[in-house]
Amino acid sequence: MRNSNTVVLSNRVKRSIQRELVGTDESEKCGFLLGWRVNQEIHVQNIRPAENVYRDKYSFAISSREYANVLQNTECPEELVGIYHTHHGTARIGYHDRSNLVVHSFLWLIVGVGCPTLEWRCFKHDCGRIQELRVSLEGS
Amino acid sequence: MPAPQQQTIAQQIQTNWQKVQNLPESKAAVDKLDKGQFNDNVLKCREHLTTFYNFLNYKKSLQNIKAQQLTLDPTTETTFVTRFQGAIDAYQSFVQSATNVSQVFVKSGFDKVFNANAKQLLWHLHHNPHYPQLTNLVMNIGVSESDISYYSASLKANNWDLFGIHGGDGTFSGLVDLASKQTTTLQNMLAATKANGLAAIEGSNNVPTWGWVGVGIVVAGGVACVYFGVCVLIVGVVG
Repeated sequence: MRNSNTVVLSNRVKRSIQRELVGTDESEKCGFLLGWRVNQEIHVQNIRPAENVYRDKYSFAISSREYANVLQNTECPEELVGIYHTHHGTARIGYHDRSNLVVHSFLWLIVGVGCPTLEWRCFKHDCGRIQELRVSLEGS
Repeated sequence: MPAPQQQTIAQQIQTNWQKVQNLPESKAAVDKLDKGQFNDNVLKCREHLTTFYNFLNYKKSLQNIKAQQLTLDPTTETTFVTRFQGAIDAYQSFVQSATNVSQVFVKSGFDKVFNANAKQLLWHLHHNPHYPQLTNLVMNIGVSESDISYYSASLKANNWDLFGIHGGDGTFSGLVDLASKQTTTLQNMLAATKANGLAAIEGSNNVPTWGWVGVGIVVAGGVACVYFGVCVLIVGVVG
């Protein structure tokens, strides 16, 4: 049974992120998660890929220009609910991610691409601690 | 198997240290160590890393503000870039000092003793009688209590293998080498910042970062200070 610690990723989100991983560019992929909250569950319906301005295999950064753009152009009923980025390897949250997650109030979805299948883990900063949420993939 | 009692852990720590310090190669290394060079360079490591960590804390504060406001005054952005360059210079100086420490270890033969026995010396570090001083040392550099907890937990989870975490090759010089490789990453980040301004959102994979590696080297230096009976980093006494 889903509870308030669940993030539901739509099939469209899952496929969109998987498509981004195709190709030779090894830099971390990143972007915004758009969706809405239903009874304290968070439903992610769409993504908006963003440019990784660090162009690095092991780190990412999104410019404030792009962040402002998505905030201004997201239309109801969708809202910005989080960001996603990929890891070469596991989706465990590390030091740098932890330090930056606490700056923001939204979800932090990590997709690990080093495993036989993709690993999806989601975190948020709540009440002074970092909490891991259950990720539910639509249709699974 | 029940967890050992604290008293037993403390005794085991003492036994571990005595065992390593009584090794013939260890005594020879302590005699040969150039204590002056060691002191000078560990103090420089601390100083340069403090400058660098001060920048990391400033960056975090500024990112917090930019996350709320979405923009910063152009003067603030320019100042940030200048300070970022200064932080990279400090980091490179830290790496040079750490390299010098590594060379002092190699010349004395202490590198072999340290590399072979680091896990024993660092075993249950948080129960070591010098842990409060090591913690103060790291906090005075600018590392937060929550980061110290995170690093301590990581070290314990990795079986006290400070030189092997995050792809280290199990040696002190390998840790310094990891630190050196962060410089290119930092320079790339600076270039991206010059082009795009301070990033609104950033993060990274679980690879060694400058934060972890820097603290690791300073902790190793602190442990070496205690080992040699030269507590310059622990109590500020040069001896």
